[in-house]
Amino acid sequence: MEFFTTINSVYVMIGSIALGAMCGMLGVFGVLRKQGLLGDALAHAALPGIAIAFLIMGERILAGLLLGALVSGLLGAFCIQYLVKATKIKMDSAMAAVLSVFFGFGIVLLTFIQRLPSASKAGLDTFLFGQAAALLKIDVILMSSIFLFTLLVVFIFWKELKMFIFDSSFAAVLGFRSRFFEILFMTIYVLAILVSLQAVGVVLTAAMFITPAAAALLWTKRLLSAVVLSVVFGSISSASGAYVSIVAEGMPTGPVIVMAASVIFLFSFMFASRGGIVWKAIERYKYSKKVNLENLLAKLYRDTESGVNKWQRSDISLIMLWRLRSNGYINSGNEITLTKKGLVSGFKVVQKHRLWETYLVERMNFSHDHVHRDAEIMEHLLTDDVVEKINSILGNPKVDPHGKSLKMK
Amino acid sequence: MKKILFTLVAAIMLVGCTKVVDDGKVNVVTTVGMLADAVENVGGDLVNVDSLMGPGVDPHLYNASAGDVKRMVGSDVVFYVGLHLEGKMIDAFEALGDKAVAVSDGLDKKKLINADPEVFGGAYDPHVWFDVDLWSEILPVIVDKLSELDPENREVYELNAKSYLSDLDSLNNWVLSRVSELSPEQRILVTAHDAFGYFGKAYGFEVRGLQGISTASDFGVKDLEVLIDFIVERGVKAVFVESSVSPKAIEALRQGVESKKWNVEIGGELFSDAMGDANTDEGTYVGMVRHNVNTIVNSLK
Amino acid sequence: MIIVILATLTCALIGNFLVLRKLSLMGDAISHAVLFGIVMAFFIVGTLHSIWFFILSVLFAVFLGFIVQWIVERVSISRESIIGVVFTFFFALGVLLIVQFAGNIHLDTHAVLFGSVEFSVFERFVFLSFDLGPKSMWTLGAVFLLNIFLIKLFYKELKITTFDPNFATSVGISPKLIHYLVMFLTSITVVTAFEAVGAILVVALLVVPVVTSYIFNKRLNFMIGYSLFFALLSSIVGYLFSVYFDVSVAGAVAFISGVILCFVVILYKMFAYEQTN
Repeated sequence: MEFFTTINSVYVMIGSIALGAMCGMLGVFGVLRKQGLLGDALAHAALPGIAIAFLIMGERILAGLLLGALVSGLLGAFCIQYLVKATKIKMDSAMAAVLSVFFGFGIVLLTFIQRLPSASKAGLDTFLFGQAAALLKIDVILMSSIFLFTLLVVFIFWKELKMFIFDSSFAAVLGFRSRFFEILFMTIYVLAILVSLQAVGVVLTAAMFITPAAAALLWTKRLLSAVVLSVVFGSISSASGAYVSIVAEGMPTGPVIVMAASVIFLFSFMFASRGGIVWKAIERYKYSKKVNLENLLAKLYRDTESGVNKWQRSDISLIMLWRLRSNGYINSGNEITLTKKGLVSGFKVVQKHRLWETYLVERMNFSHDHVHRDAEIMEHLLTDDVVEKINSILGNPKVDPHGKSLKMK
Repeated sequence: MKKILFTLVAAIMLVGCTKVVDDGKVNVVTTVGMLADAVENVGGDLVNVDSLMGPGVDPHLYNASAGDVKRMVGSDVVFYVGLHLEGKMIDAFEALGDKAVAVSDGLDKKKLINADPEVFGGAYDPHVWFDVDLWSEILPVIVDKLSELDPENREVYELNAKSYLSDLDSLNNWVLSRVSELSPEQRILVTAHDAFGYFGKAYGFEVRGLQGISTASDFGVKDLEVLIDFIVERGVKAVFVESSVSPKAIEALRQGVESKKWNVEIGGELFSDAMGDANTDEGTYVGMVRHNVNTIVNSLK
Repeated sequence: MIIVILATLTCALIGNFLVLRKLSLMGDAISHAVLFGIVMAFFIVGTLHSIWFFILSVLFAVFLGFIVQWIVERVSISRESIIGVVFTFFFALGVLLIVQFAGNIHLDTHAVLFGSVEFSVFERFVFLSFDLGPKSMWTLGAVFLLNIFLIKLFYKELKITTFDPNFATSVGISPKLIHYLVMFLTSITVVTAFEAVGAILVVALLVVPVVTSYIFNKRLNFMIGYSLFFALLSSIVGYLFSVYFDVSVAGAVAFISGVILCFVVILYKMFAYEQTN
């Protein structure tokens, strides 16, 4: 492929996709447990481990430092869990607390190390965090393995994980080994975080464990769909980000991937089925359309009560004419007449209005000059069943408080 | 209750003030190790030099500790490089007034490398110590200040400076001669950061870094590939790591070059913003420069 | 060091409301996302040293809080996750901008905004050639007073909107406005404190003393009071610790606040059993 001019682009593309998939999958669980930012927390919590490892070894050996980071990270994760379990401290506060305390301790150690005469200690804190553009074969292997391993675990223990996420107290009551899953999940999660940190650094790790998952959760509340969608989002963001950074100069891979993931999130936010603004706007629009149509029908019906049966085309706007016609409410010609369907529909709206007024006056003791406004709204909201019920409660009245008929002509 | 606390705090603050060593010598605090070395050479026995950033400490990543303030306040003079190298400490220096001296003041601004003057009104590259000749121009600043504090010994300082200057001159000549062992096409220096600008300018090297000198800088795959292509096209034999950068970046570079059927070595570690272990040769400025140049030349030959 | 004490007290004070409103990670988020604000400020102003960094950072932090709230209201995803989505976006954007436009500038983003306790004592506030003390003391002092004043003024509203936002609306208090108040105070506190004592300490101070007091307190008054006490204790002990071992002051205070938290947790667990009996 012309596109992959060096082995690096291959590794980066594959590696980041593996990363996106891995983070996307685990991210859903993390976000649901309100631990999405654990990536950020652990990146900070790992510092003391690195510093201590360095102090013990006296030199900068990568493996040793990684081990230190791992131990420190796990310890941090454990502390967070403990705080949440043992006290009423919430997850986000626990994360913030552990993050800053551990990191503070790490800085203390670093300033202590600074005073030592050895030279190889520069940049201990940044040394461990890689960059997405520098992914190597080993990273690809590592991340793919963890992804596959996690996939396996998730597949095997699907039902249990589901219960564990959504209702751990219920699960505990059943004598279920939620402790086991707690540890299992946390271990995999932390491991994945650390692998990601040393491969691509803090910000990309933090972002990839949250953003695709959050975006997915905007579309669905069902665990399976969320996980699948999140993996897809994660992979797409990584692939697009990697692509951009492969073809354009001055586009650092990590940040670009974060951008891509954020764009997907933004898109989801605007269009997705539940919280999306666009969706809500559409709903609002549909509602106002319904209201307008019903108001017109009601007016037409009331006109027939005064004996008017025909209307001029010019009386009604083109759009409304079109809507009335496409719903079969009118016969068009040079003059407009209501069809049977239109008449009945118009009546229904008017009936609801008047019935509600009757209800308010008779059962709720409102005075009859206070009920019109309310009825204007309710006439669009009451369903036919409710109307029937109200009718029977009121004993099938024939007229409303203003003397208008409740029965169709 | 509050009053008690307040007095307690005040007492702690007072206790916190150091007693300064008063042995007739001038008490100097320096920031980076290279500077400490220079001052030691100029001052000799007449000064106590306390270096805030010891071996291996990158001034960009430096974290201050509680004692630093005491040291600075309690000293007679604080020497620092300037040009925003010790970014975090600028305010401290300003507050110390005359006590803090930027050695870069002694440098002719025209000799400095300016990054994009049109765009940002010029921010100078502060890594001036890589150009030995340029670096030697800070000596007069040191001499002047020390003499101001200790006028009796002005001649001694001037003499020491002269002697150190000649050391630096020979060093510079030595560098020039070693460097000339490389043909002009071979003089390409590839590192992770862009810190060797002055070195390149002074000794005729083309310097290429993977990412800019900003702390938050990062690079993308294309940038990596551009550099890889550059290395392969120009037949660069070695690239160099700096101590503070993740080795992954350089490793990725190397593997990328390899995939294009060219072999580039990791030429060894260069001291960029810090020097080597104390009491070793690389722990002195001269030693550090030697190490760097030897590493570079030997790998590129 | 007065600066440290002021910083701890101010942060702990506003921190109470952050923790209770699930905004604990805001401090950390701001410390990363503000990179973007700095880059913007740099593009506008062009130099590395200007009051605009401060102003734009505060504005940006408020903006951040606003966005997070806006999104949280419209989706059913936990607040801390939204904080994560938003701040990583801005940070990444900041890095992109730097690489694209300012790669050669020695823009030490840390130096620009984050000070360190040890050196902030040097930046003096000089008025009519009178050295009135460290600038940070004044800025933090001012912010502390501002916090006290506004919190006292809106105490009732803060309390109600924190614990029962629905009830608040029904009594005519707008939770939204109060949220913006909290974000404003947080932003100003955080950015000022960043300049004085650096980022790690701020994040720790906003949360740890508060959380320590939260463990065993039920009433807001007491919670605030104890949090201030723990903050003070952390700063004094932490400062002494750092002087004795000659290490970073900020790191030490953060660390000590954590140690205190540990003690309290242990004590609490020991006595909790007795209480339930």
